[in-house]
Amino acid sequence: MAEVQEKDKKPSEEFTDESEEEDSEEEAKLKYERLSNGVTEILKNDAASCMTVHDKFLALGTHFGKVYLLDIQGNVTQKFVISSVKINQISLDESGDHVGICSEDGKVQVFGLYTREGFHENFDCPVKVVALHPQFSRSNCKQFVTGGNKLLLYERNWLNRWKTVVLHEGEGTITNIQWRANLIAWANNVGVKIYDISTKQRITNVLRDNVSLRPDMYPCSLCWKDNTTLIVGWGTSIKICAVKERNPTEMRDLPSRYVEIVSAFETEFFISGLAPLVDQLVVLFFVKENPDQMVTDEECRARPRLDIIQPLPESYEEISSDALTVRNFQDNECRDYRLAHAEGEPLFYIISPKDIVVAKERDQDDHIDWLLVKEKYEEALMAAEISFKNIKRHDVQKIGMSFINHLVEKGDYENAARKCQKVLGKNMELWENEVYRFKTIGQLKAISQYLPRGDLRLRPAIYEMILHEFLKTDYEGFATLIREWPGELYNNMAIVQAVNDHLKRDPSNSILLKTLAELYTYDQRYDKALEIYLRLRHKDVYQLIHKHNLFSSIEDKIVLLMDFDKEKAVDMLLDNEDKISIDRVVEELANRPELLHVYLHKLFKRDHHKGQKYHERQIGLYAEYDRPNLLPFLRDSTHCPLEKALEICQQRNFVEETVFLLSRMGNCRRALQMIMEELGDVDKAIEFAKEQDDGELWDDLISYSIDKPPFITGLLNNIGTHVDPILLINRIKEGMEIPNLRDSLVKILHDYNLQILLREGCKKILVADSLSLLQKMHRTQMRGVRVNEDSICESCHATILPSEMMKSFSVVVFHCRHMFHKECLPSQGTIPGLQFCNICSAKRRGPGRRGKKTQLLLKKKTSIMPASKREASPPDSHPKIKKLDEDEEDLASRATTATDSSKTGNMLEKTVEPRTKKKRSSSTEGENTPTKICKQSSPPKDSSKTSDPPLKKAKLLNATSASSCGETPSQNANSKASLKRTASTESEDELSSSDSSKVDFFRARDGDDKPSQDQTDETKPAEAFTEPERRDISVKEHQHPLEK
Amino acid sequence: METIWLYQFRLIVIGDSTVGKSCLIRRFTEGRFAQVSDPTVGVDFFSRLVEIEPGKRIKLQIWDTAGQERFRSITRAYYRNSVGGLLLFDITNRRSFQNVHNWLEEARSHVQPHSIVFLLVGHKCDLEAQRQVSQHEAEKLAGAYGMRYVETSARDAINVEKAFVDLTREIFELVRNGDIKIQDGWEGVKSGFVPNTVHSSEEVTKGSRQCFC
Repeated sequence: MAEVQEKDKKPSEEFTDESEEEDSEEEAKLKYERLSNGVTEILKNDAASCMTVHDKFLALGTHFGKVYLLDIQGNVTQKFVISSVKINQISLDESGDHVGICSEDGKVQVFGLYTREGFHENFDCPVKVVALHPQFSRSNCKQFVTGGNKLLLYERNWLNRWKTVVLHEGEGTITNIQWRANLIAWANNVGVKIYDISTKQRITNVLRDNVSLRPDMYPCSLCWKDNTTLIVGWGTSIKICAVKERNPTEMRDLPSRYVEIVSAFETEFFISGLAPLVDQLVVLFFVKENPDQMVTDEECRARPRLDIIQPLPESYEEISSDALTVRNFQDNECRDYRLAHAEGEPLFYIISPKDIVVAKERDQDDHIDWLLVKEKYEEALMAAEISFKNIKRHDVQKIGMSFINHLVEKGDYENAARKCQKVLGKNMELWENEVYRFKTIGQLKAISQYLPRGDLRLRPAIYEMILHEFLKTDYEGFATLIREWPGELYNNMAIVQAVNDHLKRDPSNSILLKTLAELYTYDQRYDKALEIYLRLRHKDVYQLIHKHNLFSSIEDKIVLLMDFDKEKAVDMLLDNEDKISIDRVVEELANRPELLHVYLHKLFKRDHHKGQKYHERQIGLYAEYDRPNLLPFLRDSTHCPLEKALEICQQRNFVEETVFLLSRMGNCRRALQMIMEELGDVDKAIEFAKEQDDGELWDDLISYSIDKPPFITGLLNNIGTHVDPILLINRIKEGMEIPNLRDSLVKILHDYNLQILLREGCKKILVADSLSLLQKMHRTQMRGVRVNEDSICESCHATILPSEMMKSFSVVVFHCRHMFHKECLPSQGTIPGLQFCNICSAKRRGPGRRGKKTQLLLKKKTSIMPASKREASPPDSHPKIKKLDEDEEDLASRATTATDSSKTGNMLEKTVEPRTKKKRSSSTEGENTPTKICKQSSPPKDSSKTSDPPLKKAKLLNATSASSCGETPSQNANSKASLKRTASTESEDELSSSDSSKVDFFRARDGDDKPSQDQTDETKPAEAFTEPERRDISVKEHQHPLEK
Repeated sequence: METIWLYQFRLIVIGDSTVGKSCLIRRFTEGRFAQVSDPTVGVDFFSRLVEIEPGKRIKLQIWDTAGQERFRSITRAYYRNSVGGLLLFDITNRRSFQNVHNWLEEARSHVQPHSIVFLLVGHKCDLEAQRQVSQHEAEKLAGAYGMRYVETSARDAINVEKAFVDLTREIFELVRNGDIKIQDGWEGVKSGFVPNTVHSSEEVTKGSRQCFC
């Protein structure tokens, strides 16, 4: 009794056995709470016998025959005195409006809780169980069953009378009834049966397994998991029965439903109660420590256990198991325990005579509780954060705080501090408390980096406190904090003061100095910051200047900056030229010429024109500090005074620079002289001469070198391509010893040879070109000319063919496709062979080809003409050509001799003369003959052309000569033959020239150029083969065979 | 339809365990004897009608209690609502006889303010050979407590009927004389539903017959 009286408020540990299960790392699934308040009072003197749970209330029956309605906290709301003895069962319908009560003395009462009207009956035997129709409130469902020694169904008929039907009897006391939907399941001494009230048929009989157990001591536990699943627990066996619809085909007279046992297994302990929990089962076990020994020994009754199990077809899996320390558990038997559960929520009531315990599924709060007990703060915190909306008892912050406390206790200050950030969030008060706590445990440092520095700001004092702490012990950390924390977190002045105090003790501590500089920077006392940076020679100084635009304050510190890092300083100065003028910098650096030089040099590199007024000064600076860059400077600068530069260079004897300056100033000879005299470098001199490209210089060079054999060698080696080596060789004094003369000469000759080879190659190409062009011309000329009715005489514009075909007529057709009546041509009959197309000759400006072509075609045309006509014309022209040919030959021979004699008696020339003679003659021929032809044959209109200057005329006539050359074969009877001949002579000529033409060609050209070209022409050998000249040559070539 | 009875008396059967309480009750209510029986747990109840006089039927509700000490606290509730009791001891077990006093004391302490009419029953009288308690001894004790004494045997059905009927008559007399009153909330005695005609006619006939006597 005493035990019952003690007021135990909580907690779960009181009920659950910590011995084995709780020590494991697995969290319990359920939590337990003792039902107290009114219940405690009731159980003081009475004992609970049964309880039924409704969503809204509890109905508790006692051994003293009372029924209490309780709220879920256990407060009594209503009390019914039913009997003097034990209430066996209370049944509630789904609405909770009606109750059925049966007691040990055979009383059954069914009444409305709010009407008290109902049914009262006394049986002559104890009624163990009563069950109302789940929808008892409905008027058509006024049914209930009672279980004593028989199962009785009560139904209220239309007269409001209760009618009784015995559903079953004869198998001992009915100990349990569960009514769900249309199915009533009950248990008697033999087994469990199910009655289908809709068909009024019993559909199954599940036999009791262990008949050795007394049914009154180990009563059957029944519960419906759903409308078709019944769970039967009896002794130590559990069976899960599924009610199924029978297939109509096999129905016959069998009930329409049948039961299949889907799972059956044995448990370790005796089952006192069952309840479904989703797919799992909650089982209340009565535990006997030593089941073999019978009831007599009190010690053997252990605490009941509430297990959650997962049923399998032939076994089960234990999910959780809690031993419950209910009051007076030692006194209880298996049948004294009941397990009641609420349909809606996972609440399980363990009813024992002296104690009622509620088991709840653990919610998030409980989970957190457990985690906290297990010191799994991290997880607890996480769980709380995830479900912060659902937790009622806990508070993320509190959990976090206890986590921090825990970490602090463990000495893990680092993590504790880190958690602060997360946990304390924006709660300033908590933050400050925490900081003070860390201070008292001397771990301010740990928390320092996690202090809020964003939106939330603590009092500056807090930050200052931490900074002071660091300053005392850890300059590095102090510096880091200063760098990381925004400057406005703390009182800058105070910290500066503190740093200064420390600096007094340690004046050269660079970390402190640097930090101080940063502090000054925050405080915008840039001058001070700058000073420190410069003192430290810290590279951030440039950044600082740049960032804060401190150019005005660095004006007087330029030298310092330059001293520290020239490159950076100069870059900075140049980048910010607009802020610090060049003049200013130059002025500042006036006393440090080497720095000035660096600055100006860079400036110059950036822009040749900036700072031009300092270029003069720079010459001296370059000369002094940076000679390699002097020459490039002189070259690039357009602003430096040359005289001044020359003076400096001469003073310092900078020959190269001087030479450059001299040449720049136009004093090339002096420059050359310097090269020769000062440097004695013939290559350079030659190079210089080449650069200047001045004949005089070459002369100077030669005359200077002439008495210096090594120079001569050098000249000989290099001069060849620029100046005629003969010039040099001629001037070499007799008897002078020249080192490596032989090699030099060989080299000259070699170069010469190379040039000739080059020209010969060119010649071959030209000849081949000409030949192919000639062939092309021939082909074109051989085409016929159509003369038909439409053709007109170009002179009279009448049709060329007479209307009467019978009449004989003469037509002249030129290669130019112009055709005339013979009568219409002006100089008819005078020089018949040398007629030209009137139209074309009027237009003519050189291209005789057309004329030539027409001539050729004319000949063909004539073949169409009547034979008499054809015969008449060719003989006219032929003698004239012959005559012309003779003239040409004469002239050629004369010309050759003339040109030959004009040549200087060169050894080389002489050797090749016999061969060249012929060629030369041909070339002169080409120049002269056509002229003659023109004079002789061209109509008066052409005379204007003959008055052109000789050279131009010659060129012009080169072309006209082609026409004349074309004319010639055309006059011959067979043009084909003439072509053949040309081709053959061509090949002959090729053969003859192949061995000797090198010199030959050179000579010929040489001779040609002589009168008009001066020496400089020689320097451009490639240009010698220009277009007109080539044509010239080709013409010459072709003329040879014709001449013959 | 309920059987017609004049009164319902609730009787309680107490005594040490294994004295044969359940067997005696079963013999009386079911007329049979079970050779083997499990120990009673808690309480059990049976009922039977007895006709003490022709037409006067009394319904007896007999509560079988567990003799074991452990269940006492629960069975107390049953004393209170009982009007009479059979106090059993085993004549072959002296200890059970010695405990009679304790049983009586306990019962009396619990039934206050009501009183119970007890009958001392020496059970298992068929086992004369193993007798440890003499009839004289027992009668003396019964006399000391103002009880009557009867010796019974459930196995041989000796005096079973007599024991219950004697007790019932005694109580009936007390009720009729007004010594025991029917009270609300007390279930020791309840009056039954008797058809008036039958009741009155019986009463009349009874009365007239008495007159004749």
